[in-house]
Amino acid sequence: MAKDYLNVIERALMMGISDKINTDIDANQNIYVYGHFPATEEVQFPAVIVQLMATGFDEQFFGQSATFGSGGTTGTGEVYGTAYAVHILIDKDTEIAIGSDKYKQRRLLNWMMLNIANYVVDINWDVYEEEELEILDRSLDSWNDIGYLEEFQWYGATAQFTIHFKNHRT
Amino acid sequence: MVNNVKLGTVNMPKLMRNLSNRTRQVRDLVFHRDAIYNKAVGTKKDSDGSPGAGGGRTTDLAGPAVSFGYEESSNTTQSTGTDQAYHLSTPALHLPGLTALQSPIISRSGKLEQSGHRITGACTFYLPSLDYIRALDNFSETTQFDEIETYDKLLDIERVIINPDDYTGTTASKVYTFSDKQPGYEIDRVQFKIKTSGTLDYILLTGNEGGTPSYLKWDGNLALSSTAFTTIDLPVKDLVITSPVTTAPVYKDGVEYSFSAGHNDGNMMIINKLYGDSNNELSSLTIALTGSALMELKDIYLYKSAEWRVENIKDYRDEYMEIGALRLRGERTSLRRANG
Repeated sequence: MAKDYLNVIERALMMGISDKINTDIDANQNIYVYGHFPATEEVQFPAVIVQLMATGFDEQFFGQSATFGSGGTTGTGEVYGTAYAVHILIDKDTEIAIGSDKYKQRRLLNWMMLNIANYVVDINWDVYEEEELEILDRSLDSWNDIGYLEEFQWYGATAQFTIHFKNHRT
Repeated sequence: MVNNVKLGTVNMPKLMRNLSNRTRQVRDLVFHRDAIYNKAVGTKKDSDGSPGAGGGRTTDLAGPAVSFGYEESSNTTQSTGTDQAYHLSTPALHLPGLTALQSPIISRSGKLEQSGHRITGACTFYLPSLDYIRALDNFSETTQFDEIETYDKLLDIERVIINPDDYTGTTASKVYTFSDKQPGYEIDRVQFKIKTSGTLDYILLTGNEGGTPSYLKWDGNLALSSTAFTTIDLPVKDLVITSPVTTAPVYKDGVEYSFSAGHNDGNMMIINKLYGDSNNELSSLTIALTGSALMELKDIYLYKSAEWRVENIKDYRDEYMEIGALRLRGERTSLRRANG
């Protein structure tokens, strides 16, 4: 069967972030994770948007059509890479209860940046993946473009997240 | 009625009255200003070495309170103190009855963006002079309104979806029953003018969602005037009934009365899901007093709103004000209907 790693990783990444971060806030409230820039009718805050930026193979093992095992199966193994941009958007009025405190605006943004960074590097892929997946390496680069859109009254930040996984095809 | 205010050579109020007979560009707006919340500040250092805001935070920081650049969740009055800055309670202002002449540069325009199609707009509102506005009902009586500022919002009736008949009679509650299969998803807000010697108890919208009755009840307690109409304007969507419950301000004589959203001990109405078949319909509107009294209702609108935000202001003293406004948060009604 043809491999579907990119969709599997993308979905697992979104589910992982959402599952982890929503356990840390008041049960009556939500942080919303989107796989696209949501339309005005759909967007709810705080919003986390996962955007696939680039993908391609990084390194190939043993060339193509290598023989695996004594059965004579030939296949190609390679390290494949994907890069995502993770965006956070928070409306000025958004308020989230975390523990006994209420977080808004920059305070909420700071909390989300650190915790999303923690979650994406700690994701247990076994919990969220839908088919065999071997993640070799992952890293979240620094958050940048941290700022305030005065026209929309939104606080926001963006970070790049890269994953390397084993792409083995026979 | 505004008295003893210079109307200038243009006399904007008279001009708008005359124009309103010829064009719908004279709009009856609701002025809205968001609440101003307490500032988060720090005034003490953690001198005992234990983390958090425990008993160790007793020693003053040198210098003034440090403002962290974000707001707290409360807007109640507080004095300067431990990690507190002076704050006077400043709830949201929501004042109907502001008439303006709208000159649409673009009153409604679709814009294709990364998120898809978004409705935006830009226009100029011409208003009477600030002195005149400050003398209007509510505007003159609340001490919170001084002048129009950027980020203030002007809510307009974009499209009236349901317009029940006016009513005069003695009753404890007036029930408007809507026609079968009445859709609700386009409706953002409900507005009406009421005059009565009674006390407004609640406003109830009932519907049918997937064949099950659903409710939205705005509950309050507001003694009304039997001589002058009071305008009530409340939202009907994106409401939360779990803690914290959505509340909305209603102003009468410059005083804020808070109404709370609820579900009338039934299922909470999600009006976007009432797409207009026999099992998903808006059924009725009830306006109830605490007891039977003579009640006059007029200008009852269940409407789709347009939110204009003030971007720039030109004030021509006694003559008029020119407000540049932007509409940023337009929407796609088709998505509302599809996704509920």
